[in-house]
Amino acid sequence: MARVMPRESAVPAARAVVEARDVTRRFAHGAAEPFTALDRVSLEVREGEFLAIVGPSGCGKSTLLHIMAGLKRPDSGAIFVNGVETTGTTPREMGYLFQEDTVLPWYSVERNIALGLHYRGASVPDIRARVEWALEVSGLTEFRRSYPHQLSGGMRRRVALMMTLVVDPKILLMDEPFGALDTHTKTRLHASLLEIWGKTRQTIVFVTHDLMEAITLSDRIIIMSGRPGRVKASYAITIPRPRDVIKVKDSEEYLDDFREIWRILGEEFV
Amino acid sequence: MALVASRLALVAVVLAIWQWVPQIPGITRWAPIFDPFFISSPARIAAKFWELATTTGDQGAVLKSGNLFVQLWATLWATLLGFVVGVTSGFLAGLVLSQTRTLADILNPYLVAVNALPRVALVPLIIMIFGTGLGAKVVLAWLIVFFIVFFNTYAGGRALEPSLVDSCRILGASRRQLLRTVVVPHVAGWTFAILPLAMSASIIGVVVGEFVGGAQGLGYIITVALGQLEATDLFVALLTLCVVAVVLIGLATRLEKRLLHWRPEHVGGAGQA
Repeated sequence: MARVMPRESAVPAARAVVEARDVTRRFAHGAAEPFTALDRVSLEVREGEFLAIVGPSGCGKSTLLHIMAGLKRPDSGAIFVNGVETTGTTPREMGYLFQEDTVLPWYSVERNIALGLHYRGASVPDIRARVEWALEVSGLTEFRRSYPHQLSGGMRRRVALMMTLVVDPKILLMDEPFGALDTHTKTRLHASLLEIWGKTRQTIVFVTHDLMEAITLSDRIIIMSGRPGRVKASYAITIPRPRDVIKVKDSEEYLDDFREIWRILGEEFV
Repeated sequence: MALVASRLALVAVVLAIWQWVPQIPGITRWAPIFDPFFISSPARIAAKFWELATTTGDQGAVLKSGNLFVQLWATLWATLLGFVVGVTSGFLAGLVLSQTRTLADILNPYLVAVNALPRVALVPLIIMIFGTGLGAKVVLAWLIVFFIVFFNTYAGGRALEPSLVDSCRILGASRRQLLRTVVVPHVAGWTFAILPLAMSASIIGVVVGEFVGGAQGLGYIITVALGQLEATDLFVALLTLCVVAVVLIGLATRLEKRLLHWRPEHVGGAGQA
């Protein structure tokens, strides 16, 4: 029972990199009365932390991520990044992986990966080196000249991931990035993500409705309640790293965490 | 091989019927359509074709000057001009209007109205303004091509996924870079996809222009042949026009596939799981 309450994170008390303060967002639903998607949501993401946000569909978790990235504005409340208010704007050190396929179909794999560096005016040798690194770590080297339509869904997701990682964002927001994939492909992408993140260690906020995915990947899970969206609990995942994405699902800690969070989430079904 | 053989056999059968059935005594009393006055005959058409193609200068009734290729060239040139001008202007208008909502909202009813008007009804007005030369034909072709390209391009521009734009903006793209790497390639894709249809539209515009106000071109030969009730001349012009159209639309289709090589429907089997 004690574990229901917020536990201390495995990540040592580091400073907050992203902070949401009393974020409220309402939606006008046509002629119907507006409903509150987010109700005074406050949370902190610590430096180097892998934070997952889970909750029932319609709990506003994607909206919260949009607001953190400055893609939407809150009706009230504010977002701080490294202590500076950024509400409504996208800080340059932030990367964002969309749920939708955002690989540009008219460019080859390597051209897509290089895009962010081109936009930011990186030098040619720098672009070449970064793209080589990205192709290498994602296992896409032999597909560098392929066009997106020639790739499978899982490989297109890899390209999208590397498009955001190549510009080296200090903060990475991911909105159900693997939601449309089958379990097998998803698991392989989890392994890749953890391997890359083990070296780059940026701060990640990962929104998902898949609890297995959240436990496998994250240091801490924020559990949200639905309609209106509120933070219900914060739950630390203390499974040691590096984690094996297959074996971890068989461990006692994983199963305990799963059972406990499932119980908390289950209260939402009533 | 069998396919090609069957196709050739089909042509041979049609030509044989066309050539010899009218020679059956009394057949035109049963079926007036077999009268060579209406349908000429393959042998006569071939002879006339050879005559018009090889001799230059005054060829009697149907051609006052030049040979068949001069007329063919007149139609071809006007069609290509109408195509290029129509596609370029349709693309630019579609691009601008799809990206500036207010302008599109203001212009919308007028665009719908102009598009609803059958373009052929504008022929007399165009001939009054542009005379009977190349200008009128190209303007008519342009009017038809423009709207086809414009509406398709506009629809494409409105269908651009916001997540694609947002994703590139977060990657650091400026407005200019967004336009160059995201908006223009996406919108152009919709324009390229309509190229074959735009080409056939351009041919229609030019031929109709030649019917009404032409002094040259395959459409002009067709009207003169009709005036003189010369079925043989008519068939020569129709067959030549058919070849021109097949070649031009084929080229437009190849151009489309070349430009849209990144689209799934044009894959040559390079996909993998």
